Amino acid sequence: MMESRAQDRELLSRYLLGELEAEDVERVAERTFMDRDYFDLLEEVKEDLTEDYVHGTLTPIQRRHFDANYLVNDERRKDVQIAYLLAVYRKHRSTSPAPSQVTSGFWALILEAIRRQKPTFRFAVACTALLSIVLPALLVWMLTRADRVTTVAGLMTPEINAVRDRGAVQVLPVESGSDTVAIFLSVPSARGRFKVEVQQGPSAVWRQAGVSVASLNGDSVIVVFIPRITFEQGKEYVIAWQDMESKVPAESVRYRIHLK
Amino acid sequence: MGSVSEALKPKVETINQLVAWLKPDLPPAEGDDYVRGLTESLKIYFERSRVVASEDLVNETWAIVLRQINSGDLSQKDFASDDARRGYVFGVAKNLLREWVKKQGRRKEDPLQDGSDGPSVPPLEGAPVDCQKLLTELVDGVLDRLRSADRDIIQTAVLVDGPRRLEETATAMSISYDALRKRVSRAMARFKTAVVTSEPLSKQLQSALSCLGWVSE
Repeated sequence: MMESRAQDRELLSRYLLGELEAEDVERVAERTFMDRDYFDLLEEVKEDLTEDYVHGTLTPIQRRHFDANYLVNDERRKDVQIAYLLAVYRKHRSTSPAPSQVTSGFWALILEAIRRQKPTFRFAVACTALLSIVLPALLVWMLTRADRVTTVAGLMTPEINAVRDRGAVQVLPVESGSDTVAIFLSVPSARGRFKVEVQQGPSAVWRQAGVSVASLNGDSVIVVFIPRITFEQGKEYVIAWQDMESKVPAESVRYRIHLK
Repeated sequence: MGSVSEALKPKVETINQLVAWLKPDLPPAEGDDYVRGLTESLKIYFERSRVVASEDLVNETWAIVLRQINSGDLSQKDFASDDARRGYVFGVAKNLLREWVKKQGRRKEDPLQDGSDGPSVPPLEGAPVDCQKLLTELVDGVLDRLRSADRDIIQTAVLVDGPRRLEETATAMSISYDALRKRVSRAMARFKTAVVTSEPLSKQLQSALSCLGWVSE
């Protein structure tokens, strides 16, 4: 079956590149109409050829055939342009440095005010904050656990982390059976659209732009759903978020992943 | 009187009606994709058959199909399945090609004889910082226009993992590779539509390409 699929791919690749004789062209073309799976495979092979073209992994003769026989209309040229730009984008994202870990001015002031208080007051503030965030997070966790696909990392802000573990790396327990990690991040305003990045060392390993602010239990939060495969056991990650419109400095939090 | 005008009224005029004729069980939202796919298959067939005016023959194929449906010569009952109806469309294309070859008496020069190296794609690495900025703005701008489902799938399967890691991504998402591939294809089609239908984004695309050293034809 696998072998037959590989042969089909090879044949379709040669068909698209204009490397088949006339009678084979007719046979392959007819099958793309009569067999829906074969037609889907044709679409896959087109996308793969385009990717190989922009990555420079076609052989010189295949590249010539691609240029001469496949890249013959504006629509396909546009496909190649977009595939190329996305490939450059991926390269760029995987090598760009992580933004510095800065807490925004407003929250830094609050944090500093808390730091100046006595330890008992700081403990009370921390408990209050935790109670107001843990309960809704727990509720969401219970709801999402029903289908066992999501691990909820809760409402974690740099402020809370700093109060609890100043300078320490937070351990983020992730259920190994889940395939998504939902992370709730408190933001100061009910407005704005955020970029969120997961960085590992100097590289961004996951990123989402245009995340809207939601309201949860009176708090303004942004929620992102990150594929669990993004995280590796025991590795450290920085989750950074920034309002795309206000351009205030990015905030971030550092986690070590613990797969349960 | 009414029945005569009803009889003269074309049965199939729009893409949705054509899709309903070819594949009645398909959700209306997928109609455009379906016809676009068939049109692309026709286009490739004519191109591979070295027809000079492949676009014209594609249009002529659809025109014949519509004429035959509307004349009452064809009905869905004449065909056992969607595959059979698709086969009928191909049959029309095949006959059209034969007539075209007979009339023209020649086909396009075989491009395989072309020894030129063709245009090359600039390298992916080492994009200048200014270009990276243009690119990021473009991608963010397009993502902003997409539905969250499309945005999420592109973020995960295209921008981070890349199309070459779809099998891993599918495993991580607990869905089949085929299902993910279809979702990615549809999301990418909408990504492309967002770029080509928006003038500012099209301009950003051209600026980013030109910044990266892409030579326009």
